[in-house]
Amino acid sequence: MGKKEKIIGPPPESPEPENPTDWGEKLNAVLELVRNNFPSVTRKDCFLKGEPALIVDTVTAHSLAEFLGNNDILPFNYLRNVTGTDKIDHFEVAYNLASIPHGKPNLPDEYKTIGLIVVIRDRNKPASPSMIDIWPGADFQEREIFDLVGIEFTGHPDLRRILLDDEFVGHPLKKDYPLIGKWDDMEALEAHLDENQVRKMKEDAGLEFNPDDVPPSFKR
Amino acid sequence: MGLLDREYTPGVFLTTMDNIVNWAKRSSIWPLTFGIACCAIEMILATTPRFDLARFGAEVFRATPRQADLMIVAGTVNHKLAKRIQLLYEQMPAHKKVIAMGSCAISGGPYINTYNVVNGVDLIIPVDVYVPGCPPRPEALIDGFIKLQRLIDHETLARKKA
Repeated sequence: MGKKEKIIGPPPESPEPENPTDWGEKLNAVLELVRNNFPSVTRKDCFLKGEPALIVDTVTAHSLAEFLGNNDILPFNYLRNVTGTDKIDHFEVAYNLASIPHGKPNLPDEYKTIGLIVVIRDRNKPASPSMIDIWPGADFQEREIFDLVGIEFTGHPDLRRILLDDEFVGHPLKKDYPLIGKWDDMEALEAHLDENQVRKMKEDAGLEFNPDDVPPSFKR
Repeated sequence: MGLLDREYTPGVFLTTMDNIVNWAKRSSIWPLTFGIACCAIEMILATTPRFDLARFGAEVFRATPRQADLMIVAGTVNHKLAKRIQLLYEQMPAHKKVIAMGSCAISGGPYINTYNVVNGVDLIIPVDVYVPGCPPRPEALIDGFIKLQRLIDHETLARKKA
């Protein structure tokens, strides 16, 4: 705890040289702690170079993220990226985290990365805890995911659309959003979704082109 | 003017009112500094010495719509931007012209019928000249600009017959 203040302040006075294997051991220790303290979390090495990724549900996501961001062994103090994905039967929010040691300029050899994947099962009203209190850089990225994928981040102080117009209806990167055209009417969009839901789910990817999807106002 | 020097005494020049007004209009067009996407790079290039749009009387790009009378819509128009384009167009003083430059501004281009792209800028403001291409080369923009000047040449101040 109390590591976040050190990010802003000067580097430690006597930075002891640590070799990369030490960081690997620290990562293993953190993963061991995660395994003991959060039994519902599963691990899957799905990123590049076998980086570990922790798959977590929305209930324990925030406490796990707080542990990862603020632990004393290997604090993951840098949020590299946030991605939201619609996987048809669930949503995923992936946080790419990195642990940057203080006062060490040559990053590629000496920092460790980890992925945190929050799985959201509720398709009708997807919601995930916001990580903005742990990593402030999540602000705009979570707004973008809310804008395009439609995932509500509970606890986000300013959850507005960021790329699309404020009057935009729907969330266009959801898999059941029509592929063609813009929908100004929420009721028409919902009727279209109900009508095509079965067909969309039968096609496993849901990306087949259907010319009937064009709303009448967009035929030229 | 060498030919006229031999034929007429100085101080007299005969033409129609339409001719002189249209000549003034088309020789001093002030475009708006307004680039949206990659077509804007070609629009900027058209003003550089290599292509030199200034030969045709449009070298000064104004940064305010109140001093401009030509809007070159160079790029993809999305719905968030459409309101801003309408506002800029309404702020321009009268006798204003619009060039739709590139596939996106003409019809939506490769982004036609997507969730956030207007299918052509002519759905929101009137367009005088279309310059196709993705993106059009500066020569194409200059060609469209000359066609706009031809349009201005055919305008008239006379009241239309009822």
